[in-house]
Amino acid sequence: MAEYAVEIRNITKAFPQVKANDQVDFLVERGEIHALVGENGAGKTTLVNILYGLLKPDSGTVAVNNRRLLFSGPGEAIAQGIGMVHQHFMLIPTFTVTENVILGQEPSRLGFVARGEAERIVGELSAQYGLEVDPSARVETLSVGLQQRIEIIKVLFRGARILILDEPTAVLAPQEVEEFFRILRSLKSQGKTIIFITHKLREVMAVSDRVTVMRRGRVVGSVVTGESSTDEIATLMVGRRVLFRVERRPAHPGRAVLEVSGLEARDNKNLPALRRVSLAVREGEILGVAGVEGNGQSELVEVLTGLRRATAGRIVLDKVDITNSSPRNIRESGSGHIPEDRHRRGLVLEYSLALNTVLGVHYRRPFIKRFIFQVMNLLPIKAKAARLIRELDIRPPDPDNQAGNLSGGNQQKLVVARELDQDPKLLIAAQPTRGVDVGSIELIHKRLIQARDAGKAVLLVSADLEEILSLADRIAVMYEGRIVGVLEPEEASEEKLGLMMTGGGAGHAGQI
Amino acid sequence: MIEAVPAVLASTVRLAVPYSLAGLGGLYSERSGVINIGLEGQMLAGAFTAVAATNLLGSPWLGLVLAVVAGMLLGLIHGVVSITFKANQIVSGLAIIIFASGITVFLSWLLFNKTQIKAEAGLQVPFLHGRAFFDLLFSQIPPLVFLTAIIIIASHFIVFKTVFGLRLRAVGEHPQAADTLGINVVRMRYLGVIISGGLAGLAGAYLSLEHAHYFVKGISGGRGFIGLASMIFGKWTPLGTAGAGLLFGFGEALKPYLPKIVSSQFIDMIPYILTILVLTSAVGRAAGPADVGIPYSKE
Amino acid sequence: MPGKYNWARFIRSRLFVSLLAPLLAVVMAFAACGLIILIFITGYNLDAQALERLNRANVPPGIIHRLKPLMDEDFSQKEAFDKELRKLLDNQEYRHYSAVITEASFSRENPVRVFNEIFKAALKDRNGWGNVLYRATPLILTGLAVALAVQCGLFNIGGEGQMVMGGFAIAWAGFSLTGLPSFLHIPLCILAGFLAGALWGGIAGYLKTARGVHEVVTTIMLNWIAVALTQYLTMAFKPGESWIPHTHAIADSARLSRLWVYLNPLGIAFPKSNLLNTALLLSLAAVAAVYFILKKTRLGYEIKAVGFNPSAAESAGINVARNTVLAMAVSGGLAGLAGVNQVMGYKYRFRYGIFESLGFDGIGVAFIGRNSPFGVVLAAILFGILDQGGLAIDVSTRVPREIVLVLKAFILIFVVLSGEITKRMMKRIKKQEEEQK
Repeated sequence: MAEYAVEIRNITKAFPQVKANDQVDFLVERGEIHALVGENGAGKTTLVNILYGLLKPDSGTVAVNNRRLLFSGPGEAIAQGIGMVHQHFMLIPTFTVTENVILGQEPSRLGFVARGEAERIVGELSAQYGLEVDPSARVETLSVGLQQRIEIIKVLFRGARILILDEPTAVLAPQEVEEFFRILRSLKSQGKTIIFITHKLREVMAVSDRVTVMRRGRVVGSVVTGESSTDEIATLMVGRRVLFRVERRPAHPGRAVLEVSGLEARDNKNLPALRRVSLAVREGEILGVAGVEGNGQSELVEVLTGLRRATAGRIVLDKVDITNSSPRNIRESGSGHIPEDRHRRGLVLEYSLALNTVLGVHYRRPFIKRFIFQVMNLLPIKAKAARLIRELDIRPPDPDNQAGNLSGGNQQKLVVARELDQDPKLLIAAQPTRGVDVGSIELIHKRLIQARDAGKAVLLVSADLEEILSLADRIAVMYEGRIVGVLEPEEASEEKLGLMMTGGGAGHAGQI
Repeated sequence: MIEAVPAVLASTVRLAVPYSLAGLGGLYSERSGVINIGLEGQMLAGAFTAVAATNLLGSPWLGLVLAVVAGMLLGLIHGVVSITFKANQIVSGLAIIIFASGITVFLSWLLFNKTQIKAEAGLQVPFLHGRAFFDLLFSQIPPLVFLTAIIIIASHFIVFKTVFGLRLRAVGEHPQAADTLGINVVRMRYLGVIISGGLAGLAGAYLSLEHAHYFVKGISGGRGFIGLASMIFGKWTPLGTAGAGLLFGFGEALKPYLPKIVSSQFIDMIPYILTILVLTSAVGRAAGPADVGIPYSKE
Repeated sequence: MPGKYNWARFIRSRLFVSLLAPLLAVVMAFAACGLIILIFITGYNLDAQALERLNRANVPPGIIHRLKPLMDEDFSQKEAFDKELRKLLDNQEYRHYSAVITEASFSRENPVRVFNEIFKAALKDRNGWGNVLYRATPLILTGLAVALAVQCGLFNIGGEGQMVMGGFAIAWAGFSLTGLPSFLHIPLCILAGFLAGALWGGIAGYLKTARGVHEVVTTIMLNWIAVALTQYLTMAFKPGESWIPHTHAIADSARLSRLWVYLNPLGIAFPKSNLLNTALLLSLAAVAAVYFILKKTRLGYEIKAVGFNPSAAESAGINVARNTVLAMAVSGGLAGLAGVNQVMGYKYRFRYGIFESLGFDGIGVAFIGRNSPFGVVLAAILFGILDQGGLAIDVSTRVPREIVLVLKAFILIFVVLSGEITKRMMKRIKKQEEEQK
């Protein structure tokens, strides 16, 4: 019988809306790299959170090194040698690497931090696993890849023998991913057990010994990587694809509505985020922008909507130069914007549904009654709300209800309805169906196609490849702030897109 | 003019003490992530308690200790309101100021039947008292000045070199990160505000016992806010705070020697104007702990 | 059961919470203050009950008789009472009975009586409530200033500074412009006050948007700069012969009428010493204006959108920076108007003393009024009652009037606490409801 480092049996965990884990068995052998894969919402994170003690299951058992856990909290898991590297780093930017690592378990003398000793330990850990981190560097000066290694040192410092890594590669550049795999192998060679969550099959094949696949809260298979293939795992992951492909006619693109040339911008950390991006969106077409998140898509949308400054380049909307224009001017020039985060950008949750339907056009007639005092005119506002509620079947259909009380799907429908109702020439839709229920997804997709058929130019930015494939008339792939290629749907297979998105593709990079 | 130099320097040091102590108080609190604008009130409570306890119990040293305790108690209240109940830290601090300005006068009416109470004894350092050199020294530079200097230097080491300081700063910068590493965020923040109150209380005791030799209604006179300004101008470091305190004290000490056209009110403005400038200037811009002012909750 | 359902719904409604939380806070603050009074306010009073107790303790009637001169005299200190006893009794009697007598005469202050005195003094007659309204007038404005800024997501604790800047500007416009008719001079003074306050508030708004400095810190600093600056200006515009630090008096044409001038001819008897003046009308007009702006206008819509969610507002093309500066400026302007009451309606001169702490009190007023314009009026009246009634208890009770400050502090603490607690309760109820679904 194999030695199991982790033995999870029959775990069930239900949340108010979904059953996140349904009688899950998950077995990890000692000293292996075990990939846990599945699409978003398959229940991977819930499962590892239970293992780490952050969540308590409704039923089932977890044993670590043949000892049953009591689910008393992370302390218990840590004592059993489990360490977790979260997707979002928990690092203090102004502290040094060493300070971040030792925090909470500081080597000390008479209450003073034994700095020399601590740096020596951190340096040794770094050298032992080939992590190459300078123990005295300040974290805020380090790259994301290095920061991730600090997180790994943190769990090693606490004596972890089983490491859980939650989507560790999502934030990494491709060359960093190679580095990262080297580290994983080094950890494995020194006897650590690694559970590695991902949804990228290339990574699974490259580094893991065994794969467990989850789908909709259940484990649908567990195979030895060497005895399997990408195809097999992909089929397990996706299952029999229920394609709700939207009915659509071929596009009849007209003249270019949005023309972007040589666009550059910096991100919040003042690092280059967009590098000479050029693209065009024509009327009557949907241009999909695909890419792994964090490759400049968000910044692109923000620059196009006036929320971020362009440092170089030109944006022309219907022959009007709108580069670094204000959001109001850009809207006035005929651009609609479905933001990627409806809570942050799309809605005022404390406002009623009705008041949200005029956000951005609230200063126009008939929503303003009198010119001097600029009194809001509630009657047409409510009438508009009632119309949009009807058109997009927003529930509950109460214009006075606070937007914050609506479900995610209904909130998103509200945003979509509002932006389309302005009758824009250009619609920028960023992650339009993120965190939205299936019914709403269908409706939103239908609306986007309708908008296209009505002659609007649609720029669809989505991390969901399936969404891009089923909606876009052309697909631009972004990687590291560049457009690395533009594909027609018929030549775009998921495989080819995946390669381009990860920097491995040889798409005809150039102007669109 | 030259002969005034020693007097100005001694006076600078004397005036800097309450600013520096209150500033350090603000520092311990803000480093842990809690804004404490109640310093002014904690100072006032300390000033009253010091004199009241000295007169009632006969020992100025006991008065000093109780003044610190009084400041700590008000710090504790601030902690309960703003850490445990996660209520608005500014309003809580403001309430502490109002409370202190009320309760000190209330109690001085009740206990002494007047609002200006003379301290019946001053602090005398055991062993050193009675020796001519020290008597002369302490008449110019009161003993608490030396205690303050020790506290400043000790704070530098506490904040930047000890385990406690590391955890305190961690909690103020990124409480979630500290929490995942098993550090008790709430406990650290309580310690921060209680130390803060204690130091402000000590500043108050200095004011009433050694500076003015009496307590009077509103004796703190905005010094808690200058302490806050010292902390910001000193960029949230103990040595910087003390330096800022000295600078502001120096301005204060110069007042009697200035030509008439420089009105003393302009000297009064300097700390506040400098603070705004240091916050707004692009070069050497000051930024406080990242999480200051935000209540911590696990959800 | 529809009745039960409605009741449950009412408990969860915002209206209920916004009424209950401050009310509960006020009650709790009075209770806490009552406790302080019970603990600290003690005295010695040989009243009828004390005599009864002495009788029961078998103190000879002769001695009791000799104590008659002490009847119903109030001693707050044990020593003073003791001294009187020594005077009235001979040595042996004193040794025997002083302890019993002292114990029997020991009394505590009844907090309910103290609170009753406060409210009685403030509300028992027209003069009382006239002065309450006079005291509430500036608090309405400084409270409104805080409340308006909160709607834009800003915490303006610079009311004190904005108020004195406005106050000085009003005085300056009042004494330096002469020969104007009242109908011009009064609006000019009001405008000067508003603009000076708006400037002071606007600086904090500008520093926030242009430099990213949090308004709490800048407004704290600007408060003290303003206080020092106006003190300097006061000295610069001091009448030569005066030793009081105040400015020249404002011209007659800039003075507001006291309300008795209008009320007495109408047959409503109002004492001529009453300070209530027409500035109250300005305060109420400001309340109505702020309510109208926030509730009905585009400006209000934008300010609140910025307050609730600046990112979404920005995304919708609302100019966040402009609205931030504007809200801070209007907020400062409102605080600046407090001088209309203090200078044009009361002292006719500028002097920091007549303003002191009204700006800080405004923060409390806004919080107790839950940042709604009408709530601010109620809270300001409450503070007015405490301020006015507090003057009386010095005379009528053994309690020093500073208890009012303690009371205000407690109200403030309990208001923020009860606000947080009810917020969490609402969240929990909502969560439970969702789970039931």
